[in-house]
Amino acid sequence: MKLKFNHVDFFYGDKAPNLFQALSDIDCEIKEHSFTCIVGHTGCGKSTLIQQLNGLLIPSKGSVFAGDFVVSNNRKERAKKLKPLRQKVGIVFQFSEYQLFENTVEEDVAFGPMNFGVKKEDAIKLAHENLLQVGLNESFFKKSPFDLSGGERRRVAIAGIMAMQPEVIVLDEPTVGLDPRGVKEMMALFKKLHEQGTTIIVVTHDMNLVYGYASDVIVMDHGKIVYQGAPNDLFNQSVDAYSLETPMMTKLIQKLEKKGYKFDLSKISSLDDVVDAIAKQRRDSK
Amino acid sequence: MSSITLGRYVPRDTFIHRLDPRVKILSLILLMVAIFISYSTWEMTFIIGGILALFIFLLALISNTSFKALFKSLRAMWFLIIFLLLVNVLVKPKDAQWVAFSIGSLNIYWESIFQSLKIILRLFLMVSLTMILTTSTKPLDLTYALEWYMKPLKFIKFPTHEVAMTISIALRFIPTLLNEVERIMKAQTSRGVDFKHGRISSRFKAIISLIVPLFIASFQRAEELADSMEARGYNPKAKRTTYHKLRFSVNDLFAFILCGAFMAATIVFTVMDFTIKTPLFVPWLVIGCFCVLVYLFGLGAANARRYKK
Amino acid sequence: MKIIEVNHLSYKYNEKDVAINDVSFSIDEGKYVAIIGHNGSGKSTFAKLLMGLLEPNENSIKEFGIDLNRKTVHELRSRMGIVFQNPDNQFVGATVRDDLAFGLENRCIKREDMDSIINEYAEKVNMVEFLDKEPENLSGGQKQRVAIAGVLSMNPEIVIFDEATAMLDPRGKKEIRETILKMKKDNPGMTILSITHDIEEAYQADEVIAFNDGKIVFQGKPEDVLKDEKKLQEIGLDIPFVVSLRNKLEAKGINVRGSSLEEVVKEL
Repeated sequence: MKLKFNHVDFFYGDKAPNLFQALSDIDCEIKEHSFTCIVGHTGCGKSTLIQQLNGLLIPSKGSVFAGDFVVSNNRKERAKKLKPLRQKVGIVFQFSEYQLFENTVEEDVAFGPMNFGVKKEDAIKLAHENLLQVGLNESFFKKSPFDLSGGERRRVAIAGIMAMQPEVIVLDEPTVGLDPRGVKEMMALFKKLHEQGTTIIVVTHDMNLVYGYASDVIVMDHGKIVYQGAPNDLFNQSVDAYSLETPMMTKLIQKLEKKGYKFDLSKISSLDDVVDAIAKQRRDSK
Repeated sequence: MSSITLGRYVPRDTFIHRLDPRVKILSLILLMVAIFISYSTWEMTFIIGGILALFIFLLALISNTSFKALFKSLRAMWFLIIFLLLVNVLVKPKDAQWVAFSIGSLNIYWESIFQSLKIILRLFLMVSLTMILTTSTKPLDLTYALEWYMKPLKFIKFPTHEVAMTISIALRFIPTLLNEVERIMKAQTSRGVDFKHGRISSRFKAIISLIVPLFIASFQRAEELADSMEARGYNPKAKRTTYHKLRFSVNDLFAFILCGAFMAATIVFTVMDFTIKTPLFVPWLVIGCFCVLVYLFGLGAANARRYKK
Repeated sequence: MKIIEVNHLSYKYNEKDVAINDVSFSIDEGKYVAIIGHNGSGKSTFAKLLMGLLEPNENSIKEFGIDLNRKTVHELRSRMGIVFQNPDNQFVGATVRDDLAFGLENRCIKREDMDSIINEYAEKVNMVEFLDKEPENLSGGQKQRVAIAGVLSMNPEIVIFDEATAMLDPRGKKEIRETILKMKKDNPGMTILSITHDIEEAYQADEVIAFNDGKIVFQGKPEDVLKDEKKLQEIGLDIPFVVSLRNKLEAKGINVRGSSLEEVVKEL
């Protein structure tokens, strides 16, 4: 499903003195089957942006196209009701571990699909499949969600969105508060979903994640998109210009390049590649 | 959301904003009494009501309370007002004689119209007064004032400090919890929940999907807050000093005397008429005054230590 | 001097859920100690035990040479401070000023002295201009700075940070890290325990203690203990970037010794 923002403005508040412009002239496209990371400081408009994608917020000006759906202020353009769109574009909010409410884990995951008209037995089946996929085995199905740890509950919440079988999954800071192992497992899950054909959009602060996983990156600042493109280009240009944190790898490569080392960035995907290149160039120079 | 913002504290620097919240609360009570005393004749009611309305108008002017908000608050009560009007107009007062007009066989009396107008006037005055108080006083200051008034209750082991602390923490967390409500609602809407439309059963489920997570999150918040307070040395049973001091100034005295005079005057008016009809009214009044005096004495005793320092 | 001594400390929430399992170690005065471990490894429980928010088994914790029990808990607690993870859930007052006053009230500081103390500590964390702001108008990093000021104003000898930066954005994390460093510089005698996931932060500490399944896996200088990538991964942690780079270079026969990125690159 192609997602396109067409000159979108968004204001919070309804009258002049309380008006706050959160988005200004957003005009961009998020490619189908991409793994897009949206980065920027708190308050830059990232969360506002993603809420336009399933019509939770309606643009004050301009429109958002999501497949056949149009989210816009204009009633004529907004032909279809927004509920079916919410099934196609699933959003996992920040601290999603605090949205569970059913008696058992499987019922909670099945809640979403059932809202979109899936029969209970089928929804439970979907729940089981998706729980396995997020790494929670049969022993969790009948447990109360409130007996799980924070990380496990967050997985249940993500499974709850996955079970709706959306074409796009949007995640708002899914790794905050997780330990390094949790972060790795979480990102591996998104990578797997991406490989299965789902478009993944992750809002994050962690530039090291952008480095390791994203195919596209959008940088936002003060309600505007200041960069959109491949992560490598962003890191090679100046990340500092957007006052973002530079990933450790980029820092290392930049420092080494200053010393005269040369790297073919298209071939470098891990620290081992860098070390290999260093070793080779040292040998050659001797 | 708009109903919550109605009557919210507006930070300004006016004479009324600067008054001691204790005086403001007491004055509110005094003026409420003046509003709700029954006067014997209609003329009397509307004269005093009019003077009070003028006075409250002045208060709103001084305290810079927005008149738009005042009228909005009245608009919020329209359903109640229409209901009262209907009931009062349709039910015939006991000794009503003065027919205004008739609809078919139904007589509408002037007395019932006056009665409804009186109720509406009282409601409006009462709501306006409360709004002036809440827009000109920080919620926390009101809490401190209430704590001060509750001090005599300490003698009967009523946990006044804990109650005040609870209220102030509740006030502190209202915006946080509203944010939480918004976040959960958005999350559940993304899962296909419709909070606005749908059958009763699905709406019930929608509410559950909001309430349960909200409670779970709030309990965890409360637990963490308790840990944090305890770690910072909070012990409700132990002695604490207080950062906030409520200051009583000449202005406060003036405001208090003014409102007190208002109430006293209205009482005198009423009593003069009342004594003719109900001879027992004077002893009741004396007993009432005595109770107030005892309470004031208790207040003085409870707060005496503070002034010695 | 040993400021914290832990002897055979155990704690369980219930029969199944053993959080701390027979732990013994000690911490020297004035050290900056990082406590690391994955979520659920028992490190936060440990912090609460040290603060006396959970009751430890008898004679298992000594702080300042005094045994922590029901009688001494209030006195010991008054010499320590803790900053928790969630910035919102430790903000008690209606404004920054009121929140700082809350701790002083608990300490029975005279009302006349409060304003100067509040100003002094707000200054230390750069929050003077925000003194009359409500928490909903502050960022996460600013709220955590208020929490730090609240702790500092109690003149604690031990300060515990329980994942104080975990919920902040990079800017907030940086603010807090800088505040902690400044705090350490201003009070060299202060002992700091930082519970963290951030292996790069742990690498900067004087000492590292690693928890796993309620037990201590290792304790020592970061240079000595944060070397073995496999071992760290087993307990759910990363290896510091520089150490990983050094290890990989070493495997290729290039030996470097620097402990920061700059130093390593210089040697190459």
